[in-house]
This record gives sequence, C-alpha cells and structure tokens, in this order.
Amino acid sequence: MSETNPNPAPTPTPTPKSPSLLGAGYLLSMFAAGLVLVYALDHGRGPNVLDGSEAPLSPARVTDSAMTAEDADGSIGQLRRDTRDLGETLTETQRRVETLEADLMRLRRDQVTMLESERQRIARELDSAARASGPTPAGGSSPEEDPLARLRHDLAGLEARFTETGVLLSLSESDLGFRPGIAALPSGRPESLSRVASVLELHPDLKILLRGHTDSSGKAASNLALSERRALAVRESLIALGVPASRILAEGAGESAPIADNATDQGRRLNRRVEIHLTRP
Amino acid sequence: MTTPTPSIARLEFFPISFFAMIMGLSGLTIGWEKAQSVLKLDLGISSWLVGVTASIFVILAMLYIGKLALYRAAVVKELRHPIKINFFPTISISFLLLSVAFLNLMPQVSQMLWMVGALLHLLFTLYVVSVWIHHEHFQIHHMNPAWFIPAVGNVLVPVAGVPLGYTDVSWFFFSVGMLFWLVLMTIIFYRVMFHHPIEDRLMPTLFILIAPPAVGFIAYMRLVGDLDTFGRVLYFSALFLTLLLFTQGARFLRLRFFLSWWAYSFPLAAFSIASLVMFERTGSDFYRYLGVGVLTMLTGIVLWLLVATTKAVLQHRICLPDH
Repeated sequence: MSETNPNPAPTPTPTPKSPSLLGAGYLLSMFAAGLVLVYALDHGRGPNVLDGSEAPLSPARVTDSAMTAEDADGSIGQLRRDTRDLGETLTETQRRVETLEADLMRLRRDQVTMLESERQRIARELDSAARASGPTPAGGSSPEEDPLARLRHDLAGLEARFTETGVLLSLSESDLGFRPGIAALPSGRPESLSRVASVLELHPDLKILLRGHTDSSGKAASNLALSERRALAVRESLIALGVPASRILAEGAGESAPIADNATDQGRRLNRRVEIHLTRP
Repeated sequence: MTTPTPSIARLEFFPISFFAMIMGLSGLTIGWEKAQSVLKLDLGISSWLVGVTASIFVILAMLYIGKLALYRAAVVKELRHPIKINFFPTISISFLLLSVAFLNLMPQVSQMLWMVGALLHLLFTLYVVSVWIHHEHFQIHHMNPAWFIPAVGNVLVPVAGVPLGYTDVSWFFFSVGMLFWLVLMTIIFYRVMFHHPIEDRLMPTLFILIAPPAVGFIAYMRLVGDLDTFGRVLYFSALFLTLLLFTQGARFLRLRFFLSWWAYSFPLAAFSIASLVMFERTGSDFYRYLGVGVLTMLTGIVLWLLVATTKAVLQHRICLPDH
C-alpha cells in the first residue's frame, strides 16, 4: 500500500470528495443508532422500533408502558420494604439465638451445681453410714454390708463415675505423668495408680479394663497404637503394684471416643486419658 | 481483480495489506457476537458474518498463494519493504481472529485456526523483529503505526487461547505483545512529535494505537479473570487513545480512500468489545452504551469501506505497482 518511492500518487479517478461534514454526520448517526438500540432493548421493546416506520405508539401501548414503569417503581419499593423487613427479622432472630444460648449456659451451670451438691450429700451419707457400722476390717466384708457402698467409700478420693456396668475412673495424661506422644510411665508411680491398686486389693471380685484414648491430632493409626501402648503401660504398672495380671485387660481406643472438643487445648488435654473400668464379672 | 484478462498480470501487485480487511471484518463479527450476548438478543447474524468473513479470507488467501506461485519476486519484494513487511502478520492475525469468531460455533475448527495462527504469528514476529534489528534501510519516516500490527497479534493469542486451554502459551504471547507495545508506542510518539508528519495514506493506521491496550484488556481479562488495577489501566488507556483519535476526526475525514483505511476498523472493534467486557465486569450502563454505540458506528464504517473497496477494485485502483 503505502509507497516510499518518490512517484507521487498516480492520480486515480478522485474519490467523490465526501464532504467531511457528511461523513461526520454519518458516523455520529451510526453511533446514536447503537445508543438507541440499547435504550430500546432496555425498555422492553424489540429492536424493530429502530425501523422508524413503526406506527406511532397507540394510547393503549402508552398506558401499557406507563403502567410497566409504575409497576417497576412499585416493585422496587416493595423490594426495598422486603429487604428492610428481612433485615429486621434477621436482627430479631440473632437476638433470640443469643438469649437461648445464655439460657442454655445457665441451665448447664445449675445442673452441674445441683449434681455436685447431690454427690456431696451422698458421700456424706455414705460416710456416716460407714461410721455407724463401725470400722470395717480391711479385706473382711460383712455379708449384710452393701459391697457397692463400700466400693464407693473406698473410691472416695478418686474421680469416679458410676455407670451401668460398673465404675469408671478417668485418669488424664497429666494425672498419669505421660509426656505428649510418649507411652512410658515416669519411674515414680503416680499416686492415683497406687490407690487403684489398693481398691482392687480390697475388692478381690473386681476386674478392670484399661482403655487408652488420645486427642485427634496426628494420624488415626498412630493414635490408636499410642493409646494401646499407654493402656499396656498402666497395666504393667498395676501388675508391678501387685495386681494379678489376670484381672487386668488393656486396650486402645485411639481418637475415636473424645469426651471434649478437640478444637481447643483444654479439650484435647481432657481427651488424652486412660480410663479404668471397674467391673464385676 | 475480478476483471477477466488483465487480472493475471495485476495479481503481481496484489497487496499484502488486503488482509487488513479480514481484521476489520472479523473484528466486526466478534463484536456483534459479544453485543448479542451482552444484550441477550439473537439477531441470527453471527453465522452469516462468520461465513462472509471466512469466505473473503479464503478468496484473499488463494489470490495471495497464486501471487506467491507466479510472482515469487514480488512477494519477496514485499517482504523486504520497510512498511509492507508489517502487514504480513495480518495473515496470522486473520487466523487468530477467525478462531475467536469460530470459538462458539465450531470449537474444533477454532482450535485448528488458533494453532496455525499462533505458530505462524510467532514466526512472523521473529522474522519482522529480526528485520527491524538487522535493518539497513530504515529511516525514522518509515516508522508508522503499521509497525504495531505484529505486536497486536501477540496480544490477540490469549483471547481464544485461554478458552481452548493453552494458558501458558497465552501468557507467553501476551507478554511479548505488551513488551512491544511499550517500545513501539514510544517510538511512534517520538516520530510523530519530532519528525515530518505521517503521509496521508498511512494516517488511518494511527488507529492501530488503540488496538494493543483494547485487545490487551480483553486478553488480560481472559488470563486473569478479575478486573484489577492493570486491567483498568489497559482499558482506560484504550479509551484515551480512542478519544484522542476522534478529536482528530476532521483530518481523517478529508483523506482519500486507501486500502489502509481498513486499519480504522479493527481497533474500533477491539475497543467496542473491550467496553462490553468492561460492562460485564462492572455492570455500569455507561460501558454498554459506549460499546454498542462504537459497534454500530463501526458497522457503518465497515459498510462504507466495503463499498469503497469494491469501487476501488472495479476501477482498478488497488492492484497497481505502487500499492
């Protein structure tokens, strides 16, 4: 196309010198046509309006479109109102959730205090009952005495929970002196284990099941192995304290049975534990 | 070229810049495809536009292949020409644009076109740039906006490349295009400001200045997905250059018709599409009106160019030794 050779334009038949005004007008009107097209589409009418030859809007259509505009205005207002209403409902609901949560907390606290006082009352009663029946010689149980009551008495110092199948003692990682991730018990025996041993000595008919638990951090398989090794370590320790091996079963439950939330430090600490189930065969 | 006997002889002077026509036509096609999807409107013109564009491309390609076969020397002369050389990438750009136009209609055809276009364009870019580097005959007055054509093509690759799944390749071409945009823009402004003005017949190519940021914006949106700072910089640069050129409108309208007028068309299409993309991202009506307005104006320009080109062809004013 463009040449650099000196040959000046070879004077072809001159293009009809379109007045630049005409050109500008043409371009502007094409641009405007685009704007009209978008505008027409926006207002819900077909592009055929562009034809220009269309019959002028009939009164019916005018009212029609007027109504549409009105409707649109109306529905916008309606939508705004709806949004506001929804916002109010949301705040209301949030407030109610908060109240309910507070109530729940209070109820829980009440229940805990109530249960605690009940426990203390029972312990006192058992105490006085035991005192009333005179000092019981260790190992010798009078047949008329309730063995369960005696067990309760003997377990007084340990955190014991009475379940349908027997008694559950839960010893946390720190109770037992385990270091995180390690299954070996420290050399000095924890006092709690000696107490368990003496209880077993007092109640020769009891068998125990040791079950180790971990928190959920780490792999499930390694947690299972760790919990099992910890339960076995406690078993060894009890055997060393004179409990016959035949009375102790040990198993690991890994991270499968948490008693607290694994998401918090506190919860994970509670979950790392060895449970001792005392059962009568 | 349609006249019977002398047509063979005139084939020798069949100009490479004819392919700029395809850029304009496919720009228009893609623009209308985009506008119809933005306006949620089906005018049923997409396949017609694609068909017409593709047919003209096939005709031009056949003519040029004929020229290559019969008048190899003439082709080589064009390849050595300091200005015409920049029009060779319009062939690969045509492939790339057609691949964008075919993207939704026939994805497989689109992929083939894209691969041919991208490869060819890489070769053209390497060739053109190495000619630039090892030039012996370039003067500052040879520098004109047509030099942008090889650069624009690179930026165009991601537009179909990303949807076709060639992300890294697309980033490669995009980066190359952006690199040359900055370099060439600087040189162009230097030339325009400090040296004698661009000759009349090349004035329309000034419009190509709009293309790199506009196409770059579309490509960048494909590559990144979000409208971020750089995307906005690209779009508003394109908007500024468009405004700048329209304020020079009077000068452009006084010009005589040359084939280079087709250079008006593609950058405007790119800017129109960029505005429509901008509308999709921001939801602002301003961009939609602007995009569609520019598109209809472009439609007017293309119709006019088609008439002018046909007239020029019939009056034997194009395939002349000089052009």
